[in-house]
Amino acid sequence: MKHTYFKALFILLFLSLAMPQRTVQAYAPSGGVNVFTTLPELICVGDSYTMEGAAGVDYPPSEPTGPGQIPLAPLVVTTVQISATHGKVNPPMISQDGDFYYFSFTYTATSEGNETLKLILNSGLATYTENFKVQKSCDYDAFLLTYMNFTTQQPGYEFRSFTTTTGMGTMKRLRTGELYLQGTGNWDLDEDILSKPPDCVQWYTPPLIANGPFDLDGKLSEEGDAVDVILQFLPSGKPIFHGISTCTHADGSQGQGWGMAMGGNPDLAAKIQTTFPADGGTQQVEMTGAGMNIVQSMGDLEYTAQLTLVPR
Amino acid sequence: MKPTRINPRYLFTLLAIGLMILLLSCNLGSLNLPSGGSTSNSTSQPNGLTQTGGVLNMPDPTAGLSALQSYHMSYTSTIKGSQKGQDYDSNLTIDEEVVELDRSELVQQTNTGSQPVYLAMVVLNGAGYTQQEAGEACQAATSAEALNSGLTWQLPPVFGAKQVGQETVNNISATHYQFDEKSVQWQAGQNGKAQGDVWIAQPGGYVLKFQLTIQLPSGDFQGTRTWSYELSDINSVAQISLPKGCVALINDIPIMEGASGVVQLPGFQKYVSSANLEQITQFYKDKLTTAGWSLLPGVEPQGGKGTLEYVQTQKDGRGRFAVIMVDEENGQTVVVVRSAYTKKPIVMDSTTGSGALPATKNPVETPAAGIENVTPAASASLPADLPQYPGATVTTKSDSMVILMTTDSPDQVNTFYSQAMAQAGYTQANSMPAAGISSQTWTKDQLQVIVVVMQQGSSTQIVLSAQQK
Repeated sequence: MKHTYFKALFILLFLSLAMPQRTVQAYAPSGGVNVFTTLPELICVGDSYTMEGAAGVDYPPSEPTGPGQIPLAPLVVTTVQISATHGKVNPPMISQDGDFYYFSFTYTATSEGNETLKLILNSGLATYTENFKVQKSCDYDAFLLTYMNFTTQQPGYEFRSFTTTTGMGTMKRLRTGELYLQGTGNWDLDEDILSKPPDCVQWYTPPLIANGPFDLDGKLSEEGDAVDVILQFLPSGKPIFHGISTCTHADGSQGQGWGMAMGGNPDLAAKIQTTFPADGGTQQVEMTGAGMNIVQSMGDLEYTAQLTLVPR
Repeated sequence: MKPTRINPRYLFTLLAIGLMILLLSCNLGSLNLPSGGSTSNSTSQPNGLTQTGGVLNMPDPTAGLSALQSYHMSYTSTIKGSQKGQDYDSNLTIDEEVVELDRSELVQQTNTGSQPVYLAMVVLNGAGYTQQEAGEACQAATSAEALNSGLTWQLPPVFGAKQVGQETVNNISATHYQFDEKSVQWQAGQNGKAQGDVWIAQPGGYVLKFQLTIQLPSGDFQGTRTWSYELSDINSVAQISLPKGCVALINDIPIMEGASGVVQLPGFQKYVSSANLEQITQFYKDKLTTAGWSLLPGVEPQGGKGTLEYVQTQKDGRGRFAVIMVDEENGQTVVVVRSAYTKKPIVMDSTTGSGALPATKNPVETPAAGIENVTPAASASLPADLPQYPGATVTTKSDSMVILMTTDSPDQVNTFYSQAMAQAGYTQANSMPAAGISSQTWTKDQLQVIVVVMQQGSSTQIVLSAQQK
């Protein structure tokens, strides 16, 4: 009798261990939260960034096995709580109906240090953490690149030239607590003649080399999320020489030529104006100026300027 | 109470019973799942999708896409109704293109009570790009890890959809299934009413098109949810493009080994190297020439600074150039690389290109092909006793003319030739000094030699040419 009793007890014990867990909860989802916006390595106090991410609750990959599993209210509310250790976030909590959505929030750095930005989905269903450095104040290094791909029809041939202008400068925040930045830099121009005049059997022309300064002016937006930058080219201020070009004709005779430009007209100088996010980056921008219009009127001009701003 | 001792035979019996129950429970569990397509008129995919006897079970509707080389996907999800008595309207659209490992995704979302979302995300050549406003600059990262998080659009799983026919969708043969709320119980809940259609590509077994509308008449939310999804251009999307305003990272131009302080921004690369200017110049010459780049003429490196300008023609006919600035400072070298694309190719004509005529950075000592047979009528061969400026680099040389470059000043060069030509027996016919450029004409017997000296950037150019008097 006793043996039968224990046998039954063990069977019950095994049954309880071996039976599948027939859950009666209606909906036990998993999920994820993530920030997709690429963050800079360096953020400065006062700067703001808009960040975008997504939050989602996953569907179970199997069919409900009974009425108790089918959710009564299927449209779940998905909540994301956002916190930061060295900045403010707005809004600090996002709550939306639906099992998957994208969201947007603003981060403003308030104190220097190593920031930990944390996003928590549905009170801990999933967590996302982002770390970056907050610096007290940032200046910017500015890097300029422009190109002009120029073509014009000349008697008997197509004249082609390719010109690049590179430049480097620094733009510093004024230490008066205002939103303005100022700086200077230098540009270097290099023009290569790509085409050979048809009456030359041998043609050599060195690149045209010129250089000069530029001015940088910047202003941070009130919100701290953008910086307007104006780059103004300044004339070289000294003679610009084109190297000696030589042409050997079919009869063996040779011709040589060179060019020289003096000064430069500030009224024709090109200007670049664009807006960057506070963390800098690279902007493809349009150059404006009367000189650009003159060149365009002389032929087919493809030109682009890239300005790169690197916080430091 | 006295403890009871268990007979080992009973223990083994009980363990055997327990084991059988465990096995049985596993079998019972599997019986609850949809059948796996073992009959002759059924198919099953590795993603769990089964089509058996005209019935479709689809636990993961997004699975199977990874088998496609490329595609274009359009997705829309809407929620419209009232939540606890308040109007609620949500609309999410995603436009996605995939070409193997590259991907672009444009997300646009409006939600009652929330800021609209615009987010363009691109994974291209292993790098990740995000753009938060159309036409604006992109943020970029050399790793696309965050964009590949797996957190993306969803379609509800469907169980028990009924086949209604064979159709062609976007030039792909497909089986059309229909279903109702019983097939999407997670989303329809206990009271919802659903109407859905799904088209499964044949062959392929992936979801080609999906439409679902669910009416939710009760609960906190009352209203309608919809999903719309469609694939097109399957295996025919050529390449992923960055959105307008987005500049690509330079991730195909190599960086010197051992580089530190690497900054990678769109169109921009900066690092510090312990190698010197000459080593770095040679590194790029080796790497970029092999990759099909050509070096344009430029200024001779001087004072530890040098700029290299390479051009390349793209497969689609566009041009591309890279400017590499090298600057030796305090025992280390700063390298800045920038690159951009041009609509038109940048190609030098053959007789002025680096392959035919020497550029200043590619000095050659022999005349270019096809030039040595030119016999000038009026010009003469350069005399053997013509003084060569010490340390100058020959950039161009033919029978009657040579062009030299030196880092010495024009004054130094002029002084040298004034003395050296006289010492070589030449008589000065005239001299024309000017601001930045000068020429000296020398004669000897029937020969006339012209020396032209001029400043060019940070170098001085010397042209020596010979003519018959």
